Amino acid sequence: MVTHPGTAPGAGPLYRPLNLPRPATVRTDARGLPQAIADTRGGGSAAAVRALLDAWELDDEWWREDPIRRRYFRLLLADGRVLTVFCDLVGGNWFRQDV
Amino acid sequence: MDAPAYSELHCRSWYSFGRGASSVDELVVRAAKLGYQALALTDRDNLTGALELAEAARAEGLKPIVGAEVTMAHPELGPAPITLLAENAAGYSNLCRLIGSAHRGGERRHPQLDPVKLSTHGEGLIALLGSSGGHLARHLDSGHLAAARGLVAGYCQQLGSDSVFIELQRHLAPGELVRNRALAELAGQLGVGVVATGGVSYHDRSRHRLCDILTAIRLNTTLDGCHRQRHPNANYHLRPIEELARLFRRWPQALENNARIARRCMAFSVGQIRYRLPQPPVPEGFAGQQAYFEHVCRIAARERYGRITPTLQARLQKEFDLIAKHDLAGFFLLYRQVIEMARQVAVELGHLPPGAPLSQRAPGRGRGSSVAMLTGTLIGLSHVDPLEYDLPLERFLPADRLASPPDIDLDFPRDIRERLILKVFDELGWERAALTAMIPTYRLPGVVRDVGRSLGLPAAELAILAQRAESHSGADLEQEMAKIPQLAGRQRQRGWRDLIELGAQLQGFPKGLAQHPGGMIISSEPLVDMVPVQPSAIPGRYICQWDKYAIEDAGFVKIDFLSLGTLSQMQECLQLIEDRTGRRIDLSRIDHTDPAVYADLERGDTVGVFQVESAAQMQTIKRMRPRHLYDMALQVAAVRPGVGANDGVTEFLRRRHGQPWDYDHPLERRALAKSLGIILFQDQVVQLGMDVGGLSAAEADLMRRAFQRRNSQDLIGRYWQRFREGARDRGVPAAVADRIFRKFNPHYMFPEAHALAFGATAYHMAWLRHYFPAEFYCAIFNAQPMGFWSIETLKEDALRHGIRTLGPDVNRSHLECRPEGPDEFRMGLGFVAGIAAQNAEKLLAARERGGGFESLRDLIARAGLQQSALEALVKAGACDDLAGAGDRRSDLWEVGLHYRPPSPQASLALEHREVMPSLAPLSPENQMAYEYQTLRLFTGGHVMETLRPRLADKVLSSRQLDQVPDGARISAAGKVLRRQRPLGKMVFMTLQDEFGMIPLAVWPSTWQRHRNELSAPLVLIEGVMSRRDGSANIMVDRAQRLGAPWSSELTVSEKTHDWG
Repeated sequence: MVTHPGTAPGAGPLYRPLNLPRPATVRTDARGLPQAIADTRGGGSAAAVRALLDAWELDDEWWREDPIRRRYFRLLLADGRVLTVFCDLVGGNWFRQDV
Repeated sequence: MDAPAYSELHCRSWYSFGRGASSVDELVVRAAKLGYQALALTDRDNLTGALELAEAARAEGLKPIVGAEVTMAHPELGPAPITLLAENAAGYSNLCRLIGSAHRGGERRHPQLDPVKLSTHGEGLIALLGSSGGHLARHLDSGHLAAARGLVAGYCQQLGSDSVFIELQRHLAPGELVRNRALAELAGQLGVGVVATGGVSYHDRSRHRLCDILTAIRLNTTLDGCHRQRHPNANYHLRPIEELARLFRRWPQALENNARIARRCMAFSVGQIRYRLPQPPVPEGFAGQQAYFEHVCRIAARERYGRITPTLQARLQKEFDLIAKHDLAGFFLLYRQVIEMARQVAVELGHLPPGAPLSQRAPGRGRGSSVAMLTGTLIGLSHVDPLEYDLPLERFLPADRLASPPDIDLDFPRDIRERLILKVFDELGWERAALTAMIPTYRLPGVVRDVGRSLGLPAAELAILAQRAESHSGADLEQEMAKIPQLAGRQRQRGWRDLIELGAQLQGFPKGLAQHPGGMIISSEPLVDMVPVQPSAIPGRYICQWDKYAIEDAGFVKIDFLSLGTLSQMQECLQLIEDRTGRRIDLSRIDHTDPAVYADLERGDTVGVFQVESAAQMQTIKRMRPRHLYDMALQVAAVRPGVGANDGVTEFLRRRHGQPWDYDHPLERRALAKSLGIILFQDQVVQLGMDVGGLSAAEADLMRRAFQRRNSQDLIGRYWQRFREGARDRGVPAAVADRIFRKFNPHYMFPEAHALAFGATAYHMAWLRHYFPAEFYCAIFNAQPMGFWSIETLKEDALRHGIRTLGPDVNRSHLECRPEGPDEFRMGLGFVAGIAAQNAEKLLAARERGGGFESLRDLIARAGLQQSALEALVKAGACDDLAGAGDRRSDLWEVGLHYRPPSPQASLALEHREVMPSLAPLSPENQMAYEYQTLRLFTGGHVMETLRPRLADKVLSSRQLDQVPDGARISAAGKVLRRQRPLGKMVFMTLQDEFGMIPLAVWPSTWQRHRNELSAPLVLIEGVMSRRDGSANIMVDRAQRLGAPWSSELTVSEKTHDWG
């Protein structure tokens, strides 16, 4: 027989959501396209965007309390890194998320 | 920069059933507003909206393009669609054939086309490949470049590389940009063009939520359960050209090809398909269809009338001329061929003696305006002699030009109709004959169930809302919720709020293609070249993808084979009369002015009589007081929504009883003289359009139809313009023209000839009921369900006419009811609930083999029935007369004691008599409950007889109502037979007690207050007697349930026809 661990499911260190969006600081041009991303490792200068690899939008879960409306960008940065960021169209904030 | 020309080449409407969230009209209007050049409707595996697109696009100055998403089979990837567009008439025919083939190739509801078919039916088609979810996109997404190349090359080989394009879409969906780059690269490598399309699912961004809901409904899941199948965002709408130009700026050739393809396809319109009226073969020696048709009619006229008088000759010639002018001889010969098939079916079924002439013993009865044709009567289309009533031909065959071929509706007894449809397929082949489609649409209950489930709302509460709501419209959910205590106050809650909003959007959406009950189209050329034909849900039948409106627009001939329970009843009744009396009655030769029959009708004594048995008809006929067949036509026509909408019935009856009146304008005289200035018939709308509005006969008929079509406000507006101008030219003041035009409405009315046909049938049934009541009631029992009165009401009514309904009896009953002498009939074993038809037949076969059953034990041993069936027989009283039978309770005990499940071992005949206990006899109430449970009626009496002693003296019975003066307070009780709410206003109910019926009227406010009580099976009401022009109603103001321990049996055994 399995002993009850004494914790509710989902609580404690057993379960942890993966790939949660993390806030990001993004500078955009007049059309709202990302120009530069503040260094995500903290402290350093902003990394310029060299190329826009892909862009997509999500408009989903409108029936839930927190609907999802996001504009995603997959970016090639000047330093060679590839990064995915999105603008939350509900709150207006930017986030980065590994896709 | 100027915006480039853009046409939408990939667009799904609501006819994609679960994949498109806008109507064709919405898409067309928006596309035109955005400045698109053309719009291709590419619904999934059908061309249902093709005609609608053509009509709507013409009105908006937009070019329509015919196309479809066609599901292609694939051995590894499974079925997925490509987009096909018709470039010319050959392409259109091929598209029709390919879609039909896909439906025959796949499983029902899951069509798929074998790609090989494209090699033989690819001419004139342009294929667009590459949209998300398709085979090409999936090959590329998974990196299978060689497979992708092979796929495109295959299509190029079949269709030619200038007719294959790779489709680029810009919805800003995840992965789309990367895929578009791969698609464009592939196109460059293979030398195939790329094309920009919208991949549209709705006209406006705001519909994306409904589109999500439709996806969930289609997949029978919730929104959460279809994450992968839903669109990722709201960009699947018709977008401004500037936005598209920006999105496609890196693929300019995709936009150029968009314009090029549109130009190639715009030259074709679905109006170019050529439907030719049927041309059945003509025997040797006749110059053509017309000559042969005239010959056939003259022979029939001589048979019917003895000789051809000058009047007869003149009428025949007039009809021949019109038929020749409109080239309809082949069309009528086709009808004759069909009626001949029906006659053969009737002979095969034993309803007709072989060799009976068509003109005298027609197997069906025509309805609709076709009844106005003498030649129609002569070829067996109708049973009314149009000469006798001087019926106008104009509505059926206008002299100027035909808007579309005339419609002919034929009613048949049910069994004939079923066999006839199969016979037509057999003889003409499914490539030349198909059933019309019908498109059921969403109304409130379906909206609540489907949207509610997608949103994950609790099923129990959805069921309450669906059942209790009074409106039929999903647009009224907010008000309906407010009226239901369990749901009131939730309208703003998440989920429920979405249900209200999206329910209103889904209201009126088509749910899918269904089979029209009897409409068929028949063609000389293969139909499958003109419209896709697919198998119906019933094996052996095929439906085309157009409903009756599209068929009308396409100018096809539609024949309606309708089944009319009354004709089954009539047929059986005549047979039973012949069996008992030896008389073979020809209803066309009975006295049509019989005062005894009209006396019944005038009293409203019409339960079970076709067309005049509803509460509203009963009330009206008392005031109408018909005296001859034309009065019957007025009667059946008067109680129609289209007449009632203007309060026409009341006004007509007032005028009929002497109230002075005048026309709104003297020009109304020709149209309205015979109905005292009131519009009772459809034809009168046409006549008014001609006489007052100056329209031609064909235009006036189109105007009348415009009122009955969906979404026709604009069209009606245009006719109003024409009508007003025409009226002004004729000196009709604008206000008067307005008043006359306002009388036209979208609600249904009968054509005059149809009213006569139905009025005559109603009279025939009333005549049979008066002179042969035992056969009449027996036959109406057998013809159930007839959709109106329950068999209990019919039993009570029969009793009032001296006819006893005997309960079933295992030794005397047949499967169906049979008369036992002139004033009683016995119920058939098929009427016992709990016995399947094959069990009843088993019992009858055992009786046939081994003689009557001697005892209950003999029955148990020989009939081979299950215990539950035996118990049902005992409860129904079918074993009461067996030797040694006691009371039904001890008989049930005995069944339990002696019944042995079937076993290969022989059972020992043991004597059980000593273990029979002495049981208290069954109480009359229990016996009644048993009978309601098994027979849906109580042969021994009425439930109210049992309840009467418990009611106060002031509760009157139906017998005492006659003495109650107008305005008096009154209390009454009974079993609820019917609840109706015409046009959603006052509720009319009928109660039944042991003596007769009690008509009630309930104001909406009272209904709101007492709806729970009034929804019970037995009710006690209080109210005020209201008498008006010979009719009486109790205006209910209070109500309570009448309870009895067994009253739940009543609810189970009988369904009231709510809101019928």
